[in-house]
Amino acid sequence: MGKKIDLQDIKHETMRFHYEDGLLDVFIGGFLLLNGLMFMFIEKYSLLVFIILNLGPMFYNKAKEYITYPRQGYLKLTKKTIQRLMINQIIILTFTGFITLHGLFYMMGDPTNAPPGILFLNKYNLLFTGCIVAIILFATGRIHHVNRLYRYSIISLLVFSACFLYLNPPIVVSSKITGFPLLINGIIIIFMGAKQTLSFINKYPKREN
Amino acid sequence: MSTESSEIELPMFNEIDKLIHEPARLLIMAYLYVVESADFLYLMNQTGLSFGNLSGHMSKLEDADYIKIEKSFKDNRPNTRLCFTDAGRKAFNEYRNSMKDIYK
Repeated sequence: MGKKIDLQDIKHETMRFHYEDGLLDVFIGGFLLLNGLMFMFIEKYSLLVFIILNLGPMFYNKAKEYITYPRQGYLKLTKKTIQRLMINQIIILTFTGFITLHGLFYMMGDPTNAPPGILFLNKYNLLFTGCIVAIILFATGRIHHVNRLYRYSIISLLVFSACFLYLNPPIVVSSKITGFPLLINGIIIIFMGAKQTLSFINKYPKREN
Repeated sequence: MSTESSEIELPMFNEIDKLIHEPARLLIMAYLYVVESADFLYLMNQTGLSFGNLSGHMSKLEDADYIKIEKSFKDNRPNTRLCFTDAGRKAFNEYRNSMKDIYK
């Protein structure tokens, strides 16, 4: 018991413990993968993908009930903590969403008349999108005290940069090209999250409460 | 000299809640303080205490009305959920303040 009792540390440790199961990773990966699919097959399956995306939190809670709580025990965060997490997450998503919508996809119109700034943003669209995904992952990791998300943030940057170099997108980027790195990124994060979940299952065998 | 100093300091230490001051119980209360509620298994994992040990400390804290224990069944399994009572939260805050005062 030779450790100092610091309530702030305990709070952070509690958060890390809560997300040790890797389900958040799988959830984020799934979200990116489905978004990628939606971008790539926007006409055909967008409604189906949209429905699955909205069912995501329900699957997440069910998975927590079956995998996490019987092994790790149940905890309910304080209302204040939940509020703080939600507010921070909404700020990040609104901020990054605003940048994305404002600059990258919808403002260009005719490329010949578009201002140079917008042309620049569109030319390097994939890199900017990669940065935004990386910022979202980094900020989410910081808010929820999940250090693994920092790793995913770097992976996102690498995946989008690689796709930018490999696909060499035109100035007017189609949604299919944007969807591809999202898809790859999602698959990688799901894989790493599933690995984390497996190690969690091995670390905490199912116990009677 | 030593007698004189102990006479001065003793009343100060008397203000400390001995029930909370015990290291294992202090740890349990600290972990409960940062959450709304938690179950027995969670506290066992976090504190590293054995079932019997944790159970004993829980009973003492419950007797003092510092924590509330709710027993139920979830998916045919017994589930013991614990949370701070208002008195417990107040006592823990007072304990923290009195410890801060001592080290001033």
